[in-house]
Amino acid sequence: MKLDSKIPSGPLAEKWTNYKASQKLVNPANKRKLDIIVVGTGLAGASAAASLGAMGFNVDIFCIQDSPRRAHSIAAQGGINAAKNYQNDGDSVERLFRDTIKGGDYRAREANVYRLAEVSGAIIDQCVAQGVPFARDYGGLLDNRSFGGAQVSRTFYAKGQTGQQLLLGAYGALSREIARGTVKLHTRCEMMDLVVVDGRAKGIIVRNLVNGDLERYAAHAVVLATGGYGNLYYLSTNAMNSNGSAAWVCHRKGAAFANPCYVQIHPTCIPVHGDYQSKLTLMSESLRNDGRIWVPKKKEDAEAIRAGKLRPTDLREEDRDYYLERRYPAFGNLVPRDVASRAAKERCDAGYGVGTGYAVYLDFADAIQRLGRKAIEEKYGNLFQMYQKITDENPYETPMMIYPAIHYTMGGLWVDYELQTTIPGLFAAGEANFSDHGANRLGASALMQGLADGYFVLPYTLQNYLANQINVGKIKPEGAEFDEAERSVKTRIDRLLSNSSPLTPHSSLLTVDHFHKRLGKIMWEYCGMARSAESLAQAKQLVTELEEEFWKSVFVPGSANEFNPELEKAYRLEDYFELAQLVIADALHREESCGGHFRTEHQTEDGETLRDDERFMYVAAWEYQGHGKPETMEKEPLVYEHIQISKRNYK
Amino acid sequence: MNIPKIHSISKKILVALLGAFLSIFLLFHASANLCILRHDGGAWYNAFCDFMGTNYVVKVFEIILLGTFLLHIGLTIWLAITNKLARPKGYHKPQRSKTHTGSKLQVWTGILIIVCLFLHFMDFYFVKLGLFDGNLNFYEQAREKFQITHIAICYLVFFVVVWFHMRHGFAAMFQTLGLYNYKYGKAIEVIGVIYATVICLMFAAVVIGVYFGL
Amino acid sequence: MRFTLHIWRQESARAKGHFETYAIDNISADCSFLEMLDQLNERLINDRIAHPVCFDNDCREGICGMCGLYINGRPHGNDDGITTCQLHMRKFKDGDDIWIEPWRAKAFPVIRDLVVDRSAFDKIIQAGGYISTTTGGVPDANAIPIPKHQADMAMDAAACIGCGACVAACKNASAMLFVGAKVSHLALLPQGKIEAADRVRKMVAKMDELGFGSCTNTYACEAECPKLIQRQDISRLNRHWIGSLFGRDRK
Repeated sequence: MKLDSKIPSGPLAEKWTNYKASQKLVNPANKRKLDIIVVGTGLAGASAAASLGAMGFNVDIFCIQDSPRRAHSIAAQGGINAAKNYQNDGDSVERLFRDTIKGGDYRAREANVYRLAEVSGAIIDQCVAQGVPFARDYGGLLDNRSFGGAQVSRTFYAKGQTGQQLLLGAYGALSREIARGTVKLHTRCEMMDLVVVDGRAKGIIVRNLVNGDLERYAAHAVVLATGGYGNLYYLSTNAMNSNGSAAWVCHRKGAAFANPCYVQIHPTCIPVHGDYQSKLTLMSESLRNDGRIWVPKKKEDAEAIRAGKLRPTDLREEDRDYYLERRYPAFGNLVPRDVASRAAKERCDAGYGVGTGYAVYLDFADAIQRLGRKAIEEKYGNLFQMYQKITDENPYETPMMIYPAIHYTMGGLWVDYELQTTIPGLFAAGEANFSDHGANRLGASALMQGLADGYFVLPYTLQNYLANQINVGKIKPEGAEFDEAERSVKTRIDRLLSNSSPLTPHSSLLTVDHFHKRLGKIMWEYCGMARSAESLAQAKQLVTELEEEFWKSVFVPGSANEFNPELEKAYRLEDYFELAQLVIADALHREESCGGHFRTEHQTEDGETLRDDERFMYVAAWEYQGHGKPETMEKEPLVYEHIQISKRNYK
Repeated sequence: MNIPKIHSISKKILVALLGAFLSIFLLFHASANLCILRHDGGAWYNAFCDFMGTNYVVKVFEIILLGTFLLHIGLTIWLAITNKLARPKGYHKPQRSKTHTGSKLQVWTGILIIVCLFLHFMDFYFVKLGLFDGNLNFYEQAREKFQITHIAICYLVFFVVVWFHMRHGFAAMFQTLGLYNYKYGKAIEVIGVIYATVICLMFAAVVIGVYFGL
Repeated sequence: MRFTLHIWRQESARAKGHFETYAIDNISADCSFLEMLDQLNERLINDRIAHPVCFDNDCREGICGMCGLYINGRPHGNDDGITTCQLHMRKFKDGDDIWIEPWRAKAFPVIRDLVVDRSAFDKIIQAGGYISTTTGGVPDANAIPIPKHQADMAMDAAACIGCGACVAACKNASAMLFVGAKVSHLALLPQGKIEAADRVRKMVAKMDELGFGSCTNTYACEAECPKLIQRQDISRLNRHWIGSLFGRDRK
């Protein structure tokens, strides 16, 4: 495997312009002859399919839900960043670029991030033209708020439902193309395998989730926009059906997987409350604009609160420890996510946690006093209501309780500047690729990246690839490679169902969820917010054991040829076992702390991350070697020509 | 043959407009009825009836009115059938959502009105058309019939049904014609109630007045 | 807490369905309704009683619009402004009988058990529920100021999650609130006004064609909408429909 990031030459600010000026184009008559498969209908997938369809390509788009509008991009609450400088607070492309690189702890590729910042403004223009009802001020112009890791207000938002509104905008554009016939929509279809012919991605095998049929689709290029693998941890803020399988089957077929150990833990989620819990609910980062995070200053107060003898509102100001404001006076409650998460964990581990002991307070009393309840209601009303519905507590009267939870995965399929993976013809966009966030993603940047990839990057770079494919002709879903791929999917499914034969003794069998919960616990415990060589070795052992047990005693009811959600969960979990091993291996090899990856051996005296730029300033791209075999790693060195590398400091 | 397709909303709008026309007609009808309460031997009222029976403009109007009635009923039935077809299999548990009951009653009050109207026509309109035997002097006919207890009660019940039908119909008409807004939605409902009440009271006043010999 | 569940079971679209009764106990009051069903499924699988109950769900935080069950006579259950995944068991009394049915409408055929096919909503949107733009070539985002209250109203209408509760609640299985919300959202914005007449014509025609009923002003949709979309959006739809009949762009 050779990694060629294909970064265009020239000064950083001109790279993208140069690329566009010199890339190959496909003329309109030829566009009609080229087929593209897009998997996933989130921000990246829907916007890519809509743009490519409008350009004249034939697009097939697939999603596992009943409608493209269900993709999990819809759940993003807070907002989307763009370097518009509408607030005249000194924002610029350069500054957004710098913030993103710094926020990512100097582990992202300069050229990609600069391009992201460069196209960010156009995203907002595009969305407004589509009818996205962004929040406006009384003059009728767009309003902004600030997010973690930035000292300017550059986040555009639509109430607490920004992701929803952006996705509906992209969904509208996609619907238009479906109506025009340039895009064909396939709902309730899950990608099961990638078909590679002569070293190029040429098609996919999908499972129709309604009747279980395996179907084949062929195309000149495949775009993967299937999101991240946060559900590896079972409890996460991801949707129940979000999964890493589509990316993983591509990895098995030869696509390198980059930086899998970079997972983001979001500091403001509603704490875990019981064993039966199926997911964690995020409270938008925007709450940190006005909310103040604290725990009791004295251990005995924390104990009293946990025992229910003391109410948080009874605690006097001087008995509270606003630990973020104390530790990071410059950024205060708005430090990046990884910093805020670790700080909460540190306090709770030290015994100052509230609730079950794994929670801290997010208090709005000050803001309500300063701005009035009505203003707070207007800004965060739906979030407060959501909190109250879940916890039965009124956040206007008593502080919210929050705790970090798995939220986003910065790692993903390795892609070059063109968003192409190591398999020619296979592209990855949005959270599914690794490209722009380094070791930690800043708030409101995921939406920006998804739409940038889909609207403004892929339409160019994909064309550059397809320009060489115009003589290939129509690709038929036939041949040995398609047969083999379909056969292997069938074998996988049959193997999972084989435990459910009536001959197996009942008592020893367990559900898929049972194993998924245990896998999640192992990963959270030993490969979560803080990792050490010791904990990772333990995790590796435990996951291996769990996988063996899984194959011995998992029970998947029903058959392959019916609507069978249990079977879907089972094959996704099967992939998670391999993925977990890779995350652990990557975390183990990266002997430094950076962004979301925190190795306890590598920290400063006051508990901050300690990078090792000498040894680890690279992207770790892993290559699959077969089940159970250790993967091999290739390094893509990160070269910073433009930016001055410094210690990430939010104090 | 190419029958132009009438979309569901267009049908609803027609029903609303026809309903509005009928409510205005009711105002005329009720106002005219008040003449019965004059102790003039029916001079005013019969003169009015005479005019209505002979004037050609009124004859045309009568046909329009009849058409309105039939169209209002026909469209409603058509809509009701498509609405039933939209849910071939119903729920086991009866609905417990908060709803405007008037709407659910509307079909039933409508049917009741058709029945009552038929009885009402047997006393008056059909007599005029010569379909039924009866006193062609409507002033006397009214005074005679309204003094019979069960007929008077039937008429009062009829007015209550009309009240329910109009009360919902009035506000619903604004909604269907796209004139509802949450700011003045309450006001429309109140005006609807007032309008329905005034008309029904006018009708009822005549029946009650005659019954008690005023 | 303990409950008696009566759940609609139907093996496939063509199969004949029936209600099945299951008893479940040891349920925490803080547990969500779907988590309660998860626990039921876990037991159904472990004890080999039956195939687990199929129900659509995804984000479990009330925004994806995937979940939707008709619980004791109300879509999304006995609470206002929530989806099924946001319904918590503390809203029930210990020992309650709970009837769980799928959305019922001709346009939403059952796929399995409580899962229905809502692709009819996608088809309505495809008929015109968007602003025709292609990527790039659009004006600056601040080029057209929009009065705040108008943008806010558009946002309120745009909050629709397409769950189908309005259709499920309506005695006529009408999709007027869904269509009204989209028409309102776009027509309230200057960018969407340009195609407003054409949009309303196409969307309503598609809605009729797919077999949804018509509105009889019962407003059960408004009462059950998890995003509190109001009936004035239906009124606005009617208004735009009338306008479209006389639109100058009509061929």
